[in-house]
Amino acid sequence: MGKDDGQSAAETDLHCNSYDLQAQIGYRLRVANQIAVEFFAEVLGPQTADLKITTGQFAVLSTLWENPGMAQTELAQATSMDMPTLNGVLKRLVTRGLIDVMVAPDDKRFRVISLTEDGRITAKSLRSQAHKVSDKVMEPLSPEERSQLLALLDRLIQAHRGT
Amino acid sequence: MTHPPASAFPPAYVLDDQVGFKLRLAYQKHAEIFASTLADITPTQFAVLWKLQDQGSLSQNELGRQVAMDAATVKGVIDRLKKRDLVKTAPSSTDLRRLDVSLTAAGIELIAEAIPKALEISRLTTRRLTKREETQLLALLDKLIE
Repeated sequence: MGKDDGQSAAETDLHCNSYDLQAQIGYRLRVANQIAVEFFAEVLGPQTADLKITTGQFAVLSTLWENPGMAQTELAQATSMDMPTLNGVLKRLVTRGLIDVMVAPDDKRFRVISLTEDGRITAKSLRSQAHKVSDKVMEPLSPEERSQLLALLDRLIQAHRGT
Repeated sequence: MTHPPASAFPPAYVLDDQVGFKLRLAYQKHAEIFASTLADITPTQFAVLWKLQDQGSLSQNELGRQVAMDAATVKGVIDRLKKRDLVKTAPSSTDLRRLDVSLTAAGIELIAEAIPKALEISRLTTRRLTKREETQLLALLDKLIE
Protein backbone atom coordinates (compact mmCIF):
# COMPACT_ATOMS: atom_id res chain seq x y z
CA MET A 1 0.00 0.00 0.00
CA GLY A 2 3.10 2.24 0.21
CA LYS A 3 2.62 2.71 -3.51
CA ASP A 4 -0.15 5.25 -2.87
CA ASP A 5 2.29 7.63 -1.22
CA GLY A 6 4.33 7.93 -4.37
CA GLN A 7 1.31 8.65 -6.50
CA SER A 8 1.58 11.92 -8.40
CA ALA A 9 -1.09 14.59 -8.19
CA ALA A 10 -1.83 14.04 -11.87
CA GLU A 11 -2.52 10.38 -11.20
CA THR A 12 -4.87 11.26 -8.35
CA ASP A 13 -6.68 13.71 -10.62
CA LEU A 14 -7.05 11.01 -13.21
CA HIS A 15 -8.59 8.70 -10.61
CA CYS A 16 -11.02 11.41 -9.50
CA ASN A 17 -12.10 12.06 -13.04
CA SER A 18 -12.42 8.43 -14.08
CA TYR A 19 -14.27 7.22 -11.00
CA ASP A 20 -18.00 6.88 -11.57
CA LEU A 21 -19.93 5.90 -8.44
CA GLN A 22 -22.94 4.51 -10.31
CA ALA A 23 -20.69 2.20 -12.37
CA GLN A 24 -19.17 0.48 -9.33
CA ILE A 25 -20.12 -3.02 -8.27
CA GLY A 26 -20.68 -1.93 -4.65
CA TYR A 27 -23.14 0.80 -5.61
CA ARG A 28 -25.14 -1.53 -7.86
CA LEU A 29 -25.16 -4.28 -5.22
CA ARG A 30 -26.40 -1.84 -2.57
CA VAL A 31 -29.20 -0.50 -4.76
CA ALA A 32 -30.24 -3.98 -5.97
CA ASN A 33 -30.28 -5.13 -2.35
CA GLN A 34 -32.41 -2.11 -1.37
CA ILE A 35 -34.88 -2.93 -4.15
CA ALA A 36 -35.14 -6.54 -2.96
CA VAL A 37 -35.84 -5.34 0.60
CA GLU A 38 -38.47 -2.87 -0.67
CA PHE A 39 -40.20 -5.54 -2.76
CA PHE A 40 -40.16 -7.91 0.20
CA ALA A 41 -42.08 -5.36 2.28
CA GLU A 42 -44.41 -4.61 -0.62
CA VAL A 43 -45.27 -8.23 -1.44
CA LEU A 44 -45.23 -9.81 2.02
CA GLY A 45 -46.08 -6.71 4.04
CA PRO A 46 -49.87 -7.14 3.83
CA GLN A 47 -49.45 -10.69 5.11
CA THR A 48 -47.28 -9.68 8.04
CA ALA A 49 -48.91 -6.34 8.77
CA ASP A 50 -49.13 -6.68 12.53
CA LEU A 51 -45.90 -8.70 12.78
CA LYS A 52 -43.76 -6.41 10.61
CA ILE A 53 -41.46 -9.21 9.51
CA THR A 54 -38.15 -8.00 8.03
CA THR A 55 -35.98 -9.85 5.50
CA GLY A 56 -33.59 -10.86 8.29
CA GLN A 57 -36.43 -12.22 10.43
CA PHE A 58 -37.82 -14.07 7.42
CA ALA A 59 -34.39 -15.62 6.76
CA VAL A 60 -34.35 -16.97 10.32
CA LEU A 61 -37.96 -18.25 10.22
CA SER A 62 -37.45 -19.87 6.83
CA THR A 63 -34.16 -21.51 7.83
CA LEU A 64 -35.76 -22.90 11.00
CA TRP A 65 -38.68 -24.19 8.94
CA GLU A 66 -36.19 -26.01 6.70
CA ASN A 67 -34.14 -27.27 9.71
CA PRO A 68 -36.19 -27.45 12.91
CA GLY A 69 -34.14 -26.95 16.08
CA MET A 70 -30.78 -25.37 15.29
CA ALA A 71 -27.87 -24.30 17.46
CA GLN A 72 -27.48 -20.52 17.38
CA THR A 73 -24.04 -20.79 15.74
CA GLU A 74 -25.46 -23.00 12.97
CA LEU A 75 -28.29 -20.58 12.44
CA ALA A 76 -25.84 -17.67 12.15
CA GLN A 77 -23.91 -19.56 9.50
CA ALA A 78 -26.99 -20.65 7.55
CA THR A 79 -28.39 -17.12 7.42
CA SER A 80 -24.98 -15.42 7.02
CA MET A 81 -25.60 -13.08 9.93
CA ASP A 82 -23.06 -12.04 12.51
CA MET A 83 -23.92 -12.73 16.15
CA PRO A 84 -24.99 -9.18 17.16
CA THR A 85 -27.34 -9.01 14.15
CA LEU A 86 -28.74 -12.48 14.77
CA ASN A 87 -29.21 -11.76 18.48
CA GLY A 88 -31.29 -8.69 17.64
CA VAL A 89 -33.43 -10.68 15.22
CA LEU A 90 -33.94 -13.53 17.69
CA LYS A 91 -34.94 -11.14 20.46
CA ARG A 92 -37.68 -9.63 18.29
CA LEU A 93 -38.94 -13.05 17.16
CA VAL A 94 -39.13 -14.26 20.78
CA THR A 95 -41.13 -11.13 21.70
CA ARG A 96 -43.58 -11.91 18.88
CA GLY A 97 -43.89 -15.50 20.14
CA LEU A 98 -42.61 -16.99 16.88
CA ILE A 99 -39.54 -18.83 18.19
CA ASP A 100 -38.37 -20.58 21.37
CA VAL A 101 -34.81 -20.31 22.62
CA MET A 102 -33.63 -23.18 24.79
CA VAL A 103 -30.49 -22.76 26.86
CA ALA A 104 -28.51 -25.94 27.57
CA PRO A 105 -28.51 -26.36 31.39
CA ASP A 106 -24.82 -27.32 31.48
CA ASP A 107 -23.58 -24.68 29.02
CA LYS A 108 -25.42 -21.36 28.94
CA ARG A 109 -23.61 -20.32 25.72
CA PHE A 110 -25.17 -23.19 23.83
CA ARG A 111 -28.64 -22.22 22.69
CA VAL A 112 -31.04 -24.16 20.51
CA ILE A 113 -33.63 -22.21 18.53
CA SER A 114 -36.90 -23.63 17.23
CA LEU A 115 -40.19 -22.38 15.83
CA THR A 116 -43.28 -22.17 18.03
CA GLU A 117 -46.62 -23.31 16.62
CA ASP A 118 -47.32 -19.67 15.62
CA GLY A 119 -43.84 -19.49 14.12
CA ARG A 120 -44.49 -22.57 12.00
CA ILE A 121 -47.76 -21.14 10.71
CA THR A 122 -46.14 -17.79 9.91
CA ALA A 123 -43.08 -19.37 8.26
CA LYS A 124 -45.21 -21.66 6.15
CA SER A 125 -47.53 -18.91 4.96
CA LEU A 126 -44.64 -16.52 4.16
CA ARG A 127 -42.69 -19.21 2.34
CA SER A 128 -45.68 -19.98 0.14
CA GLN A 129 -45.67 -16.36 -1.12
CA ALA A 130 -41.97 -15.50 -0.95
CA HIS A 131 -41.18 -16.65 -4.50
CA LYS A 132 -43.23 -13.64 -5.64
CA VAL A 133 -40.57 -11.36 -4.16
CA SER A 134 -37.83 -13.06 -6.20
CA ASP A 135 -40.01 -12.94 -9.34
CA LYS A 136 -40.63 -9.23 -8.89
CA VAL A 137 -36.93 -8.45 -8.32
CA MET A 138 -35.97 -10.47 -11.42
CA GLU A 139 -38.78 -9.14 -13.59
CA PRO A 140 -36.55 -6.96 -15.83
CA LEU A 141 -34.42 -10.01 -16.74
CA SER A 142 -35.01 -12.83 -19.23
CA PRO A 143 -35.00 -16.42 -17.84
CA GLU A 144 -31.46 -16.88 -19.18
CA GLU A 145 -30.28 -13.63 -17.59
CA ARG A 146 -31.82 -14.67 -14.27
CA SER A 147 -29.76 -17.85 -14.08
CA GLN A 148 -26.69 -15.90 -15.21
CA LEU A 149 -27.17 -13.36 -12.42
CA LEU A 150 -27.62 -16.05 -9.75
CA ALA A 151 -24.52 -17.91 -10.96
CA LEU A 152 -22.40 -14.74 -11.04
CA LEU A 153 -23.54 -13.70 -7.56
CA ASP A 154 -22.62 -17.21 -6.36
CA ARG A 155 -19.14 -16.83 -7.86
CA LEU A 156 -18.72 -13.48 -6.15
CA ILE A 157 -19.93 -14.82 -2.77
CA GLN A 158 -17.92 -18.06 -2.97
CA ALA A 159 -14.75 -16.16 -3.79
CA HIS A 160 -14.92 -14.46 -0.43
CA ARG A 161 -16.06 -17.38 1.75
CA GLY A 162 -13.76 -17.80 4.66
CA THR A 163 -11.67 -14.76 3.81
CA MET B 1 -40.82 -44.32 1.54
CA THR B 2 -40.53 -43.47 -2.15
CA HIS B 3 -40.73 -39.86 -3.16
CA PRO B 4 -43.20 -38.75 -5.83
CA PRO B 5 -41.62 -37.36 -9.01
CA ALA B 6 -40.33 -33.83 -8.38
CA SER B 7 -42.36 -32.50 -11.29
CA ALA B 8 -45.57 -33.22 -9.40
CA PHE B 9 -44.83 -30.20 -7.13
CA PRO B 10 -43.79 -26.66 -7.80
CA PRO B 11 -40.11 -26.18 -6.97
CA ALA B 12 -39.70 -26.00 -3.20
CA TYR B 13 -38.72 -22.64 -1.80
CA VAL B 14 -35.05 -22.71 -0.80
CA LEU B 15 -33.86 -19.52 0.86
CA ASP B 16 -30.25 -19.90 -0.38
CA ASP B 17 -31.40 -19.93 -4.01
CA GLN B 18 -33.31 -16.64 -3.84
CA VAL B 19 -31.95 -13.56 -5.53
CA GLY B 20 -32.60 -11.38 -2.46
CA PHE B 21 -30.60 -13.69 -0.20
CA LYS B 22 -27.68 -13.74 -2.65
CA LEU B 23 -27.80 -9.96 -3.08
CA ARG B 24 -27.59 -9.46 0.68
CA LEU B 25 -24.61 -11.82 0.94
CA ALA B 26 -22.82 -10.23 -2.01
CA TYR B 27 -23.36 -6.76 -0.58
CA GLN B 28 -22.17 -7.96 2.86
CA LYS B 29 -18.96 -9.32 1.32
CA HIS B 30 -18.43 -6.02 -0.45
CA ALA B 31 -19.09 -4.07 2.76
CA GLU B 32 -16.50 -6.20 4.60
CA ILE B 33 -13.89 -5.44 1.94
CA PHE B 34 -14.87 -1.79 2.08
CA ALA B 35 -14.46 -1.68 5.88
CA SER B 36 -11.03 -3.29 5.80
CA THR B 37 -9.78 -1.04 2.97
CA LEU B 38 -11.38 2.29 3.89
CA ALA B 39 -11.86 2.00 7.62
CA ASP B 40 -12.83 5.58 8.46
CA ILE B 41 -15.98 5.88 6.30
CA THR B 42 -18.90 3.63 5.36
CA PRO B 43 -20.03 2.86 1.78
CA THR B 44 -23.02 5.19 2.13
CA GLN B 45 -20.88 8.03 3.56
CA PHE B 46 -18.44 7.54 0.69
CA ALA B 47 -21.31 7.69 -1.85
CA VAL B 48 -22.54 11.00 -0.41
CA LEU B 49 -19.05 12.55 -0.29
CA TRP B 50 -18.30 11.43 -3.86
CA LYS B 51 -21.58 12.80 -5.19
CA LEU B 52 -20.92 16.17 -3.55
CA GLN B 53 -17.42 16.38 -4.99
CA ASP B 54 -18.87 15.53 -8.39
CA GLN B 55 -21.85 17.93 -8.23
CA GLY B 56 -20.69 20.69 -5.87
CA SER B 57 -23.61 21.69 -3.72
CA LEU B 58 -26.93 19.81 -3.70
CA SER B 59 -30.15 20.03 -1.75
CA GLN B 60 -30.60 17.20 0.74
CA ASN B 61 -33.51 15.79 -1.31
CA GLU B 62 -31.66 15.90 -4.59
CA LEU B 63 -28.57 14.36 -3.00
CA GLY B 64 -30.67 11.48 -1.65
CA ARG B 65 -32.17 10.88 -5.09
CA GLN B 66 -28.78 10.88 -6.78
CA VAL B 67 -27.23 8.32 -4.43
CA ALA B 68 -30.40 6.17 -4.16
CA MET B 69 -31.07 6.73 -0.45
CA ASP B 70 -34.40 7.54 1.16
CA ALA B 71 -34.81 10.82 3.06
CA ALA B 72 -34.20 9.30 6.52
CA THR B 73 -31.05 7.47 5.43
CA VAL B 74 -29.47 10.43 3.66
CA LYS B 75 -30.28 12.68 6.61
CA GLY B 76 -28.55 10.26 8.98
CA VAL B 77 -25.48 10.08 6.73
CA ILE B 78 -25.29 13.89 6.43
CA ASP B 79 -25.65 14.34 10.21
CA ARG B 80 -22.72 12.02 10.85
CA LEU B 81 -20.54 13.65 8.16
CA LYS B 82 -21.42 17.08 9.56
CA LYS B 83 -20.28 16.04 13.04
CA ARG B 84 -16.93 15.12 11.53
CA ASP B 85 -16.78 18.46 9.66
CA LEU B 86 -16.63 16.71 6.28
CA VAL B 87 -19.77 18.42 4.93
CA LYS B 88 -21.57 21.66 5.71
CA THR B 89 -25.19 22.69 5.24
CA ALA B 90 -26.66 26.11 4.50
CA PRO B 91 -30.18 27.32 3.69
CA SER B 92 -30.62 27.28 -0.10
CA SER B 93 -30.29 30.71 -1.74
CA THR B 94 -33.31 29.98 -3.95
CA ASP B 95 -35.56 28.27 -1.41
CA LEU B 96 -35.00 28.99 2.27
CA ARG B 97 -36.95 25.92 3.35
CA ARG B 98 -34.29 23.78 1.70
CA LEU B 99 -30.87 22.84 2.98
CA ASP B 100 -27.97 22.77 0.55
CA VAL B 101 -25.16 20.37 1.38
CA SER B 102 -21.55 20.77 0.25
CA LEU B 103 -18.07 19.49 1.14
CA THR B 104 -15.77 21.24 3.60
CA ALA B 105 -12.02 21.49 2.89
CA ALA B 106 -11.53 18.38 5.05
CA GLY B 107 -14.23 16.59 3.04
CA ILE B 108 -12.55 17.51 -0.26
CA GLU B 109 -9.25 16.18 1.05
CA LEU B 110 -10.77 12.95 2.36
CA ILE B 111 -12.64 12.09 -0.83
CA ALA B 112 -9.56 12.71 -3.01
CA GLU B 113 -7.59 10.26 -0.89
CA ALA B 114 -10.45 7.76 -0.75
CA ILE B 115 -11.10 7.44 -4.50
CA PRO B 116 -8.01 5.33 -5.39
CA LYS B 117 -8.91 3.04 -2.47
CA ALA B 118 -12.52 2.84 -3.65
CA LEU B 119 -11.28 1.64 -7.04
CA GLU B 120 -9.24 -0.99 -5.24
CA ILE B 121 -12.37 -2.04 -3.29
CA SER B 122 -14.28 -2.56 -6.56
CA ARG B 123 -11.38 -4.59 -7.94
CA LEU B 124 -11.18 -6.75 -4.79
CA THR B 125 -14.95 -7.36 -4.71
CA THR B 126 -14.91 -8.96 -8.17
CA ARG B 127 -11.39 -10.36 -8.02
CA ARG B 128 -12.42 -13.96 -8.72
CA LEU B 129 -14.51 -13.03 -11.75
CA THR B 130 -13.07 -12.77 -15.23
CA LYS B 131 -13.29 -9.38 -16.94
CA ARG B 132 -16.14 -10.72 -19.04
CA GLU B 133 -18.06 -12.03 -16.01
CA GLU B 134 -17.56 -8.74 -14.21
CA THR B 135 -18.95 -6.78 -17.15
CA GLN B 136 -21.87 -9.21 -17.37
CA LEU B 137 -22.68 -8.95 -13.67
CA LEU B 138 -22.54 -5.14 -13.77
CA ALA B 139 -24.88 -5.08 -16.79
CA LEU B 140 -27.37 -7.50 -15.17
CA LEU B 141 -27.42 -5.50 -11.93
CA ASP B 142 -27.92 -2.34 -13.94
CA LYS B 143 -30.97 -3.84 -15.63
CA LEU B 144 -32.31 -4.85 -12.24
CA ILE B 145 -31.99 -1.39 -10.69
CA GLU B 146 -32.88 0.79 -13.66
